[in-house]
Amino acid sequence: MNSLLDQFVSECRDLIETSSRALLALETDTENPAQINELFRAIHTIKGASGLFDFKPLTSCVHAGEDLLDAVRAGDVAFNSGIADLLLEMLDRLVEWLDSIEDSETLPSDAQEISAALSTRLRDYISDGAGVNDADDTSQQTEVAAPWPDDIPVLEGAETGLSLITYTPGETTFFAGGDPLRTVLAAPGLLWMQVVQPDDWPDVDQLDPFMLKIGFRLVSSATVPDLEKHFSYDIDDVSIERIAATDGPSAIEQLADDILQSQAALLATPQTGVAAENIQKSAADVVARVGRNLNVSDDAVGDLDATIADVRGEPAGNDPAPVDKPQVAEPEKQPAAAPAKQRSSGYLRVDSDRIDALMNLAGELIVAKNAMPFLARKAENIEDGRELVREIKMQHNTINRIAEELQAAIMQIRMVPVGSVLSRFNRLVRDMSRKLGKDIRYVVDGEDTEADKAIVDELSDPIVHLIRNSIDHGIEDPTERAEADKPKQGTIRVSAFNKDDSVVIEITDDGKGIAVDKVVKKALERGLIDAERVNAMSANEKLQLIFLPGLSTKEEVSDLSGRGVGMDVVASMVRRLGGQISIDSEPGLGARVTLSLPLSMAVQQLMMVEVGDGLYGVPVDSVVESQKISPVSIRRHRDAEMVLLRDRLIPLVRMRDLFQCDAQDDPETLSVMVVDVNGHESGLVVDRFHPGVDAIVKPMSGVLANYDCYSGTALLGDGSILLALNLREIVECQYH
Amino acid sequence: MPISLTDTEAVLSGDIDITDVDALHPWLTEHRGGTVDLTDCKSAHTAVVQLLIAAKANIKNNSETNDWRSILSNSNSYLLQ
Amino acid sequence: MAHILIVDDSPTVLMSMDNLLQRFGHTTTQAASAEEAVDIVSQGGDAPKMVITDFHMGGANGAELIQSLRKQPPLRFTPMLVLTTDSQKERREEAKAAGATGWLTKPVDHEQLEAVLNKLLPNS
Repeated sequence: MNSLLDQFVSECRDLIETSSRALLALETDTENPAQINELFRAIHTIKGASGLFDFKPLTSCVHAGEDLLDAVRAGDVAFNSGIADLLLEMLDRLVEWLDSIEDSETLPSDAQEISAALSTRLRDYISDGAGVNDADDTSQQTEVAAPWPDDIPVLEGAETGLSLITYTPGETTFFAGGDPLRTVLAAPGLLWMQVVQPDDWPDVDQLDPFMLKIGFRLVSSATVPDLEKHFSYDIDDVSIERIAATDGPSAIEQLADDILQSQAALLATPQTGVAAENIQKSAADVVARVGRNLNVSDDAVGDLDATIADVRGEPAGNDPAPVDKPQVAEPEKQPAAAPAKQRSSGYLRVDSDRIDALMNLAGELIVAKNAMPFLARKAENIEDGRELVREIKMQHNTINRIAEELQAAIMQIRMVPVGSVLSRFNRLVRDMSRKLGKDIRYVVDGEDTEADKAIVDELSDPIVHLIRNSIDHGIEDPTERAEADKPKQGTIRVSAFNKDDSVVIEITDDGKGIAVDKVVKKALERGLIDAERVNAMSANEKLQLIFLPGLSTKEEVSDLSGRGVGMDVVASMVRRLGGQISIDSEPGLGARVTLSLPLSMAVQQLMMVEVGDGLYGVPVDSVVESQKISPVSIRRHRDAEMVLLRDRLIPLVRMRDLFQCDAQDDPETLSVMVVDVNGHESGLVVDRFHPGVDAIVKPMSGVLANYDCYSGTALLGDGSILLALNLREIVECQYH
Repeated sequence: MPISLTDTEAVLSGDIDITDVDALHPWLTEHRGGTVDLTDCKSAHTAVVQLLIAAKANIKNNSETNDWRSILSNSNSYLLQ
Repeated sequence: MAHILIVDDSPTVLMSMDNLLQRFGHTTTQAASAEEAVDIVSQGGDAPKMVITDFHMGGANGAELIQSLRKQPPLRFTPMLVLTTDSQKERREEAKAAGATGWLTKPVDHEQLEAVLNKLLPNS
């Protein structure tokens, strides 16, 4: 999908969300002018932006909605729930259409018909005589603006946005009577224009002067519809883009750019041999490049190069890469003079993929810099290497600091308020409670609490299920509530707050709570647990059984609360994000589910272990010790294997069995990594231990997300992927 | 006459039509990089402008007016004031 | 100032177009059918600087006229416009495929004509 369309879709989705929020707020407070204005602006902006594309049914239906809201705003039409329902219906359609645009860049075939019907119904609400103004199109000019191109002078109006038109008429245009230059010069609002030449011209006597080879770029202050009208004869040869002057590259972007460049070289390095060696080599690249930009004397750089060449296995001094003039690194350096006269906005809309890419690179840098101490050790063996060792260590400190700051800065960029996800469910609660004949208030606390975007994005699914559960099974219907002396209106409250290094989300309802005995009974019936263990449990521990796979307390799966999705699924979603879930309940008074999630996917230290042909990561925090044991010391108890280590009996997990690799041929010793999972120690039998790495573990996505034995993936310096083990699942898997 | 051609110079005046390319093209072929005087040229068809650019004609413009003619010099761009 | 050929089977349209064009300082030659227009052009004389033709006429239609006029060397680069109503958008495509430069939407007013002349003819 082209980037403008992409931008349009994501922008519209935001605006639709804003609109839904405003609409729901208006239901309780029908005359709140701020909400009406917000709603109007959002709808107006959607209409304006959609005009850039050929989605006429979408535009015209939104236009009708805009006209209706304009009448509401002017006080000509009174807002009522019928209007709210109709506008919500329109928003639902828009979401459908945006999905279709995203999939196929077109609207569904029935869009025209639906739009016409919707428009009629919307316009029916506009009373006779209510001013149906063609709203001015100026406000769209601040929307959907791409950055100002470097090669165009900054023009009057650049801050609020102008149109950049690229006009590439066909070769035979002259033979259709066209005179594109004249058309360009007559364009409305023309501020600047340029002839775009082909890469090269034939010799003048070879030239066919009647074949059009040139194109045009122009900047105009006119509205997009006016420009489209002007270029209507050749509209297929024209692309119109909104551009606005924004800030110049920031210090962090420059820093990132440096890293990008070095990483590009890193990735271009041929990869042979074991991963560890690759990491060192890649690191050498990064170091060489970053080092040159630091305040290092030429001699030191020369020495460093020699060492690097040594690591790479190349003869020293063979590196033809020119050594740039050493510069003092100044992360706080002012960005290059921005072309903008005035900064238009402090915010940039950036594709999250780009930030992910930046984050991956920062992760690689963090991994790559691990090799510097190795370089230092290597340098110790060089004659008179002490000075070099000192230099390398100094560089290591500097790069370490930059890498950490860079990472922290990127983390900061990725922090978004959880409110954007939480407030979305207003609609869900409203629609579902209506269907069930319940009266439920939805309250969000702490919507400003921030967490990493990846975490926030993933929050939606588990929370939807929890809210559905509360509406469906938790909150009673009004009569039932009245009998229990409770207020008729039930409340579902979602609170978000920070606690230590995590973000905590509590979903509380004042419904009937959860019957512990029913949960226990089900768990026993289904054989999920044995009676002996249950008897030893506290009431709260019993309640947590609700998260066991295969347990659902509701007899029939309700149509509303998500078919077949139980609490176990919610729990596994949360754990996949590295979070924890717990529940408590007071029978008759309600229930509370608490999700505790990491604030961000921060750097983790992983120990690497080799199993079969693969490398896997184990969080260092979980590692108790690594031991080599003799196979004869293994004891067998029923099917289980154990080993006695320092008076502790530790159950073993054969990783090769787990990954269905062939067993090792009679090894003399076994490598056992003892890990602690929830206070219980287990020994993982692996082929080999490898050194630890710093890495950013990201949750699994796609097909792999179903493999519970991995907690995520981490990118290594050589571009290879390390799978981080989900110890909890691995250990449990062994015993179930 | 909108176009007058001499051994040293091509002088374009008034509105230059696409059909004038028929005369200008051979002249530019014979006088590589020849001087083309646009001082009194009001407008020119796209084909004429393209020909002047492709032939890398030496543009002369004694007029002080800031107009479309700057696309034949200033990095092919024209900034309206 | 340019000479423009207008073709329409309605005398009213011819007259109003002539009126409008005169206001921009242009002169016209009028033809009531495609066939007449072809005759006028093949008689020689000063080739028109622009052709404006109706789409639906008795005999050949506007697209067919444009296609045949384009074959006349003096008219290969001449701007040619077809007159259509707003509901005849597919006619515009037909005309463009036949070599039309663009179209005018009926009813043609001063403003529309000015915009179109500006992007196609010098000195308007």
